[in-house]
Amino acid sequence: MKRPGMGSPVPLSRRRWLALTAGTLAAATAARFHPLGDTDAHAASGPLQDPGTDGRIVRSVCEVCFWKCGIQAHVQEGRITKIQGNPLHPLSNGKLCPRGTGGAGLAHDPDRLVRPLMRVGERGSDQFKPVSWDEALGHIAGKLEDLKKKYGAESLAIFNHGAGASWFVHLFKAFGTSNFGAPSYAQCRGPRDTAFDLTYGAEPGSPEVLDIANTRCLVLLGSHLGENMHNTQVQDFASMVARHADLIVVDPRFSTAASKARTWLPIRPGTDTALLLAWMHVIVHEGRYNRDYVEKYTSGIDKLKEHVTKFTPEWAAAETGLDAAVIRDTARRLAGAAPAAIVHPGRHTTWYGADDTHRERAIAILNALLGSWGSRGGFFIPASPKLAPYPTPAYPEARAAADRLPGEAPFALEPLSQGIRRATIDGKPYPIKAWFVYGSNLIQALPQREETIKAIQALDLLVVVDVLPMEIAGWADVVLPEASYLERYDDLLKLSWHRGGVALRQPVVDPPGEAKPGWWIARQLAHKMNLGQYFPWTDIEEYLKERCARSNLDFEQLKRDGIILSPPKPTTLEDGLTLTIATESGKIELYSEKLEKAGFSPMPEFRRPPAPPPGYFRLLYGRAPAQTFGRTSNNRQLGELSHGDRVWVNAKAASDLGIHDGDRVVLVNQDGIQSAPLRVKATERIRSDCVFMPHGWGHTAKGLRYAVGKGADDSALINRIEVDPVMGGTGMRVNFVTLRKEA
Amino acid sequence: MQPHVELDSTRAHLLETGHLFWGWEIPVYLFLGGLVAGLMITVSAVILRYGKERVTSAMRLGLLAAPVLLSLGMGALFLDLTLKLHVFRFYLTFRPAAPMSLGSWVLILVYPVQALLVLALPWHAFASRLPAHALLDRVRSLAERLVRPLAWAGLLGGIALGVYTGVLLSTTVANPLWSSSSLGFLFLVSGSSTGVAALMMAERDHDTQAMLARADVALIVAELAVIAAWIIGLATQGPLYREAVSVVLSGSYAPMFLGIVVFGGLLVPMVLEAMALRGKAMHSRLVPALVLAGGLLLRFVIVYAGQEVRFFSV
Amino acid sequence: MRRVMVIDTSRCVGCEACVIACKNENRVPEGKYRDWVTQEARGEFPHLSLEIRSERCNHCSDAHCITNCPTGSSWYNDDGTVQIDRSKCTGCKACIASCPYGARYVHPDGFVDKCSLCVHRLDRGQPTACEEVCPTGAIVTGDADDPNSEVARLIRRGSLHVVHPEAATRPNVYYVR
Repeated sequence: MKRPGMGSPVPLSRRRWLALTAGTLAAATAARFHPLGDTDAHAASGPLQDPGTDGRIVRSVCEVCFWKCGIQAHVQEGRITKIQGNPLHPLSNGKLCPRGTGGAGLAHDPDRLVRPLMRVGERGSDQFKPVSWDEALGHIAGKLEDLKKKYGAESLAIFNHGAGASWFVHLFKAFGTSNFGAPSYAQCRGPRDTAFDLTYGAEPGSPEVLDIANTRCLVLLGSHLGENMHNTQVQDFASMVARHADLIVVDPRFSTAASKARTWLPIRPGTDTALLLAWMHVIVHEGRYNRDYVEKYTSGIDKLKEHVTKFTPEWAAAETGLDAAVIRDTARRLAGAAPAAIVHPGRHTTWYGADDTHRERAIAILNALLGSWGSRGGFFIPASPKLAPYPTPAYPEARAAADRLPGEAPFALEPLSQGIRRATIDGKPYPIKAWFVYGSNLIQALPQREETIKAIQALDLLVVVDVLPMEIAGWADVVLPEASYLERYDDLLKLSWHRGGVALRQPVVDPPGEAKPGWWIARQLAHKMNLGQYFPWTDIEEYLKERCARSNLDFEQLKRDGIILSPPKPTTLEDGLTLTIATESGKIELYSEKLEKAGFSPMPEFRRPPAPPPGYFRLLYGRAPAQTFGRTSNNRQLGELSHGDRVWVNAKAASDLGIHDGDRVVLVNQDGIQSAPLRVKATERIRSDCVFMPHGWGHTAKGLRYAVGKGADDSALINRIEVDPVMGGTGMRVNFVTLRKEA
Repeated sequence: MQPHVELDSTRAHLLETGHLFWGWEIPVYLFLGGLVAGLMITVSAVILRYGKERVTSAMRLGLLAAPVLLSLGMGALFLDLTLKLHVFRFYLTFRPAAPMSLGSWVLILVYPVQALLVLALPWHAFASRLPAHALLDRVRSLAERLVRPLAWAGLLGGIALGVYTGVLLSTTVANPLWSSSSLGFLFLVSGSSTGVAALMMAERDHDTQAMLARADVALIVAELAVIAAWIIGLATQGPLYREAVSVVLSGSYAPMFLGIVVFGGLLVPMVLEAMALRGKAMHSRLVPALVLAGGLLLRFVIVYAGQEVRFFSV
Repeated sequence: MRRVMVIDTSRCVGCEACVIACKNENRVPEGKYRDWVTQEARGEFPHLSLEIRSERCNHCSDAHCITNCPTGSSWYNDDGTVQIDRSKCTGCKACIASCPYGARYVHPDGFVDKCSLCVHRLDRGQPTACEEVCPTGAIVTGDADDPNSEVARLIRRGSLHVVHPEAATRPNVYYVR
């Protein structure tokens, strides 16, 4: 029997199908327009589920970098929940960079050093046993006493970085050594400090005394503000950008700062001095310099004019790869903005060695031609607070530092770290037998790693004071765990700025384990070394209260506010400042007789660095905003931010090597030294003759469980240096690398 | 000429590995839900067109299996929830503008419809094995009297069940591959096709096999047309939508989509079925099996490929 | 009242202080972000441009996440911001599927989370955590319906843009170039 409907292709008529489907769709769509469809969408229901992380507030000072912004930390149940900028502190103004904001990641770092350790295995084998403070400090005191008898107190050298070192500097000056080698001089700011000292009798300072907020033209040479996150400077930079002041950025890389510039000059690396000389040529020969200022405050303009005659923009164009017309134009703009114009002195200025001091002298001179030193929108003369010392006996006479041989680097303002290292190896001019290292990971901070290790092997004693088990700690004989900046008092902090001030670092939370503040460690050690008279107070608050009393500061107010500002006084000519120049001549020395007498060129010279060998790129390194070089690589909070741990390579140059964005590569330098693998950022934002990577990654210390193995260590590739003959700075951008693709 | 753009972000490293918000649970549910929708539509349509006597034992079995399959599907959805304890919240409110709310209510409302439909159908062989139960008898006789309205309920419920998932995907708006008004219809047609295919697997009656095969051929033709409309519609919407489409046409999902879903799951069964209907080949269980596999994989492709291209990329 | 955020990308340097400050203020779990920074570089060497944006939930006036939420967990606050009631969230992720900006994430505790525009702070007269920390002062929040507010002034000035305008959700986070 044939069933009804057999043979029909569909069980239902097509029309019905379509109607039913369309109906459902229509209903669903209509519901989206129907007000009832959102009946409880506007219900003011739901409790606020973000009550925030406010707690007990403690005001203190940050030390994730050297800037020392005032902070206020919130504490709940013994843990720091958040850190903000202290609104009363003029370096933070209530704002904070990412590193300070993530400071709790250091305080609560599970890899912290928590017990004093003494070496049990071979030096460098990273084998330690925990000991008591008494034993550790007793050992150190005993050793130092022996060494003093055998070699003299000068056989002890200190490498320090950070405000907390002050106690140890005091202690060891009392001990009788003058070998204080802060790597921040010869491996960082040395050339600019020496150059400015020669020119102005004063240094640009820490923090740098730049009135960027009011400047009309800012020139940055390599300074990558923004990726370099010095809080106040970036605040000022942003306000300057927002009001469309002129910004000229000279950098082989299109940095964040370059992206905000009116003109970016993608200069051939190593040729900045040529550009500066050409700018001087234009400004002087076209009569655009600040005549009144130059007449009143400087000496040597005629000699300078003659000197820069040959440094034409055309000459500089050939050296720098830039356009001569652009060189002229930027010089004119710079001069037109004077005196509210700044050629930024930079900070890390140990670049190529041969002409680093010359380059910084050129910067100093240019600023003088503009009349920006002492002017609003230029370099202000900072106000410093009056702060009385705590009375202690005078230091004994100490032999001159061992970092240099006679005639070497005559204009160094501080002992050269690498010089002390050399003296440790070869015993000249006299032996160095002990190193006391505070807060400085020398393995990454000093170039020529094998030399550092060689020196360490020659020591009788290596003591490391740190908060984390950095590479240097693995080489120590004694490791002393310090309380971090969030867990201790430090000595009163002087602020030299638009207004002077005194700031207080005080504990926010307790230190972990047996970690102790530096003042305690130094004091204990002093008593064991029979130098107790230099620490005649029992308790840090006693010391601080006494200093405050002598300086007419209210300690309780300081604890509450974090800072006490001094009365305002003029810091610029426009404010009524009387500008005095601290050189011997009392003038800003465009022409330096001191340099001439010492056999150096009295005015800046350009030394062309060698070009990269074929197939190689010049290795450039720098900063990333979320990190302070190697100190923060282990910070788990900051680890959540963009790592910036790639190597920047020009996209076309990379693709010519078959390498693309995101590929893993190994960098191999001119002597065959290889980096750890890291990823490539193939980008248009860099010249094709250089590569750029942030400094501070590639940790190998196994105790840094979070950091180890991340990224690559640029400093391991820096086995060649060029020493600046004027002040001994180690130029480190003189290494070349090639790229090898990894699987 | 595309301008050269370099994009990066704080979270770029997360997106490289963890960009999926919905995993295997969703395509599994979509398949089972669509299949159940197809079962309901087919059986209800047969009742309405030909009367309840035309319902075969395979169809009854399908209707019996429907709540089981649907529960498995809902189980998959439950597994996808990241706050399972709050699942009851779906049923404290009705928000018709949210397809997921609409769908969650449809999902539970189809159960009684399926149960009553089963009871409404003749169960001669089965009934003799059931214990005599007064309430059950009363419900059964009520259901038998209301068999036509119940079939309408089954048809509409099945259509709602089949359509809403496609509408859910398309109303997210934020996923270019799903931003097509064809998606609801595609899921309905595909679901119906898998429902018919499931019945074909179980069907023993030759005439019914042929009827189902004819229906399936028509549904596959419609499905191919809707897929074409979906793809072509998106391709004309702009560069982002073209990029989304390229994932299934030339990118990582192309082999699965073109090879297995379109060719193996649609074209091949359609040709084989047509040939069988013309007497040129035997009806075999291979064909509905291909349709079922294709239906499952179509949903995997749509759900996964749809999450590859979004408005943001870093 | 319509609370909006205006961000000056010319000031922003992409330091990500906003990311950390938000994480601390709102206890954002490891590996998850309520806000993030995007960098977009265009051009070929040496003719280049770079835009840096701090991004987060845009608290859209046409929020598909709210429309598509089956339980009413996502809802509009009186100030126009999009909020989440965790007690109603099932973790179905329809909202994550509906967000063109990828602003939402699944919290380890199971509910979906995102930027709340720190209403707990705004209601107390404080800036949002990101606004407060930002060293460049790039972030401003305020009531766009108040003609005297800074944000209303910036909106009047014009030349603002939003991320992915093609999504057409009427976002309330604006960017100044």
